Amino acid sequence: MRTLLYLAFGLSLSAAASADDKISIRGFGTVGYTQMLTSEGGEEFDPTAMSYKPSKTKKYWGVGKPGSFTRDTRFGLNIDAPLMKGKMHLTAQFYAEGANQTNGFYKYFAQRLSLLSLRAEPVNNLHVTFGLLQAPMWMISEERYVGFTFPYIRPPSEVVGITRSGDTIEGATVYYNWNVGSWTIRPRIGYGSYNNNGPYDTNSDVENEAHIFFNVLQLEYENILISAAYHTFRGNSTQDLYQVVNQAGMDMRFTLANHLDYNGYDTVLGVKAEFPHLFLMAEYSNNTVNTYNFEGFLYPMEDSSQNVTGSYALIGVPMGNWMPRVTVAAAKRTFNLDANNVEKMAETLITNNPDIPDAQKPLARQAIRAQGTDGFRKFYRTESQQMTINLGLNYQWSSTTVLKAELERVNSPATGTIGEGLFGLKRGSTIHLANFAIDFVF
Amino acid sequence: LRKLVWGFLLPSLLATAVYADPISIVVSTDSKLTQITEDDVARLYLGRSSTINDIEVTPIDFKEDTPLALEFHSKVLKKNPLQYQQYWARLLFTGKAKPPVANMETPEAMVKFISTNKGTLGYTNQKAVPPEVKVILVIE
Repeated sequence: MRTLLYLAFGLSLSAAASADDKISIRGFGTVGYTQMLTSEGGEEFDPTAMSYKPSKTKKYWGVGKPGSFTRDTRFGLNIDAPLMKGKMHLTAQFYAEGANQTNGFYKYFAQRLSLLSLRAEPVNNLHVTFGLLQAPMWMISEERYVGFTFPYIRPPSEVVGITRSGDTIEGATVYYNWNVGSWTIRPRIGYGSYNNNGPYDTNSDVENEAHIFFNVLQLEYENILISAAYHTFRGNSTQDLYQVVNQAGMDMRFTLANHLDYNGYDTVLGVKAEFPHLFLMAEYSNNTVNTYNFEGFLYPMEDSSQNVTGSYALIGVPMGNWMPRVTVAAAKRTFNLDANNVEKMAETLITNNPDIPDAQKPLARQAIRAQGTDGFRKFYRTESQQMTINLGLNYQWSSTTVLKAELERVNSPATGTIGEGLFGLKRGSTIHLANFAIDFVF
Repeated sequence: LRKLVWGFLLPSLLATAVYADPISIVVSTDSKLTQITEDDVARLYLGRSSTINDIEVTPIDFKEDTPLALEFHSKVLKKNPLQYQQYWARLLFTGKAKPPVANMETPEAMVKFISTNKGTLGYTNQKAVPPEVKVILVIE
């Protein structure tokens, strides 16, 4: 489909260029810098002692190093070509951001197409779009990549990370603007597929394919936007993990594969309201993924499920060109295992875990078996939490440029954190970040 | 405080009330559109509707930093300049809609364009609106 759209877009550009319809080129960007202020190592699990101990390793999860431009900087360029006197629109949008690797680091920029679509209004107020679209995984945050539309430098990563399985889809969507007085009620449905293949790092390849069906309802009144959504998805994921093992003096390269099928759903509720002296923004999301048909060597997760609940609330006080604000966010992930598979999983984990020395594996195995399912749950993180408090200040430089500064504290009160960029924070870890950014549109 | 109220705030409010010109919503004289509500106007300029009474209408706007555009966006669309930009950034960069053409610099240019382009709709704050266009709503 993408090839066809490329072709159609090229032809349309040349057609539009020769007609009266004007091609518009617009864009957005954020130049953001993140500075790690402090990082506490927290605790890590010692499988031999079946308990936690202080971690000596402080990690700069999410930033990769004490200071980074790549985490919060992004650019988008939107080209819109009207066709048939503006009755249809072909849109292409190029987007660049710091590449997210599975270890949470953002080491380089990656560019991609975030839109390549054909939009039309065949019936009054009924809008149909197909092609490469942005998936409305998060209702208000659907535009989360457009930093300018947000009061903060980046969306609250702790509540978008784990569900960010497909931010663009190839498919179609339909929405209707139903105007009642000063309200606009906007139901929207869509269907599509996404394929976000790796490789994410040099040691593994990931292929992830899925289909998603989404249902969204938005209510808009002046500067109040209320969104609710329910998405269902189904897909499969294959991971090839490369290992080099030295045998008989020779480096032998092995490829080990994990495969699983999954399905699940997202439930989202959000509100964004702007008043002359008050800015409110809040969102709640629940994401459930069930895995089955597991084939693999490392984590036999047959019939397991994972649930992520995330929410945030922001209060800002606009004062002329300034807006101080505070954001509180929390997220929790629970990994539900089938008890029948626990022992098998524990055995596999211990056998394949390179972090456990061979000499200690019998002891670990014995300890886990002695404690049964509960013992395994201690060994493998089945629940993780993250809490964030963010103090920020916006300054409106002009109607198209906003300066932002933030101080953020992220901590993991239970067992490790979740979320894009901060994934992997250890239990009890706390980090403090400072962010500075310029958001603009043109 | 009394000095502040009588000496500054009250005159300012009165001046605003006295000197804020009404905004006339105009279409070409051969347009089938004869009347429109303020809600309809807001819907057109916010991309929430493209028709009024089943008549297709294309809204035309002034450049975003002109005083009249700022007044119109605030009074009719209920958006300050930043809110207006953010609103359209959200729709544009998620592929949902495109903002109205905003290339008019003066009320005279707006009237001239509307009068020669059937199906378009614009606004002006001229006290005497030229007869080349039809006024279908006056917003005080």
